[in-house]
Amino acid sequence: MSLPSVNPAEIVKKQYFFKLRANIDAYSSLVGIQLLAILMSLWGSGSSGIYSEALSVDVKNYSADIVIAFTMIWGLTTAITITTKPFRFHDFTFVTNRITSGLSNLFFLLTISVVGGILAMLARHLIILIAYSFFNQELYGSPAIGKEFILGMFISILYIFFVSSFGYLIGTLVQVNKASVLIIPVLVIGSVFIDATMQRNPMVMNILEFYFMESSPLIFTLKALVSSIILFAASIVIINRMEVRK
Amino acid sequence: MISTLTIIGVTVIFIAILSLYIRVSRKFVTIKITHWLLLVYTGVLVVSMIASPFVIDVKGKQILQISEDESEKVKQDFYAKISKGKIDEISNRGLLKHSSFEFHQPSLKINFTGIETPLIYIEKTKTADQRIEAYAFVTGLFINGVDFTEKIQPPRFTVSDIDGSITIHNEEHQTINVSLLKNEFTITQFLGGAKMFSLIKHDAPVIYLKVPKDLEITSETGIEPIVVE
Repeated sequence: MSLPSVNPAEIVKKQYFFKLRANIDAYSSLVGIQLLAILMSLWGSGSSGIYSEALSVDVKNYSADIVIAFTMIWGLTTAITITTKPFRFHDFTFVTNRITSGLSNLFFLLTISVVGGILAMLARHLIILIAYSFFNQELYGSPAIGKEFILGMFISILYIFFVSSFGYLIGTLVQVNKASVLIIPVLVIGSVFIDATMQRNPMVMNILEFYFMESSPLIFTLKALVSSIILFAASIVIINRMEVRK
Repeated sequence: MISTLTIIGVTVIFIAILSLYIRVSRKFVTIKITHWLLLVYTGVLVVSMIASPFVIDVKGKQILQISEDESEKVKQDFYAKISKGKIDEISNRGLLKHSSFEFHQPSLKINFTGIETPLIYIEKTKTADQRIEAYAFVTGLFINGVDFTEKIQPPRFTVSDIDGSITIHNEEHQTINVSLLKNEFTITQFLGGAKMFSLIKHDAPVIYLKVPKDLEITSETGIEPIVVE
């Protein structure tokens, strides 16, 4: 008697498509959160001005920065959500192991990051149109279309994916040990206090600068992708140590 | 041209994905409200993308930016020219107003209304025979390197040939509201242009008067006209 052999790639593919269908409601929350961000962006994503006795100049900036930031938060929460028990149990519908489950989650999060990133960048045009049509704003500047737009879209996708992978690791840690809900914030806030006491640049700031201050798109892509892969690999390794169906 | 091609390309891709998505979805899954929500939302965003460049173009708001160094150079160049009386060489962009008046008095008293005391240059010339040519120039209003000079309200001039005076009427207070489109941080991180606050450069309007050569000039307290040699 021989046991039927299974192809891991085929399982990952099946799980991935299943997750796309099963987690379709994540897109409802994406639309909701982006609409909220668009609404907030209508007040301007920044404003400044000069005021003198003779002249006042008020400058309002319009961009999709808030939409991208909110989409990153959405990516983080979606990633945490898929690590919870009910979502993990979906995988047991298939012949599976922790690695195939982790890989299908990675591809699922990559897909939602692509959708989220594209929609977030497209949202800038809706902000422009609403500001022009309903708030009678005269808009100055040139619309980012072409290379700039594609770059913005690509980098937004990378940011969302990176934040999702971070969320996935947090979610995994919480599933392994519930105390992580407390330990992770304590570690982050504690490190800020320790760095402040020792009068050095906070580690959190150094980490943020590592990504946000990078001026080369190529190096940033490498940083974001490598970091995401490391975070996913760590998550898979951690969850692989868990008992089956725990 | 590139932007038009991009718009057409994205629209074609969107329609293709939309039709494929509906066809595939009907085959494998029941279309839920989420699908429609996502499709309608994506559709609205794509339509907005197609419409937004036209909104900006229609009102002629797509304007060229100049660097901060260039705007500083424009300013220096302006003062160098006006102090030497070379107003013909000053760009038309800087000229807010030009008025011409007949004047037959032996002396001219300069008055002003408004909050800011104007900077006044006076050129005594033979060519201005029994006339006063009044110009209001401005170095410009630059916000993040974008020229908003057109938004500045020019001062008005009134000349009285009876009591021999010219009054410069400045706006009591002017408010200028400007809405700028800013690139997202995912673009500015690599291409620059990220500014938390806008850099605003503005100088009060400069008045230039061409008067007859032998005219005696007096002025209100606070005004110190500079005579151009």
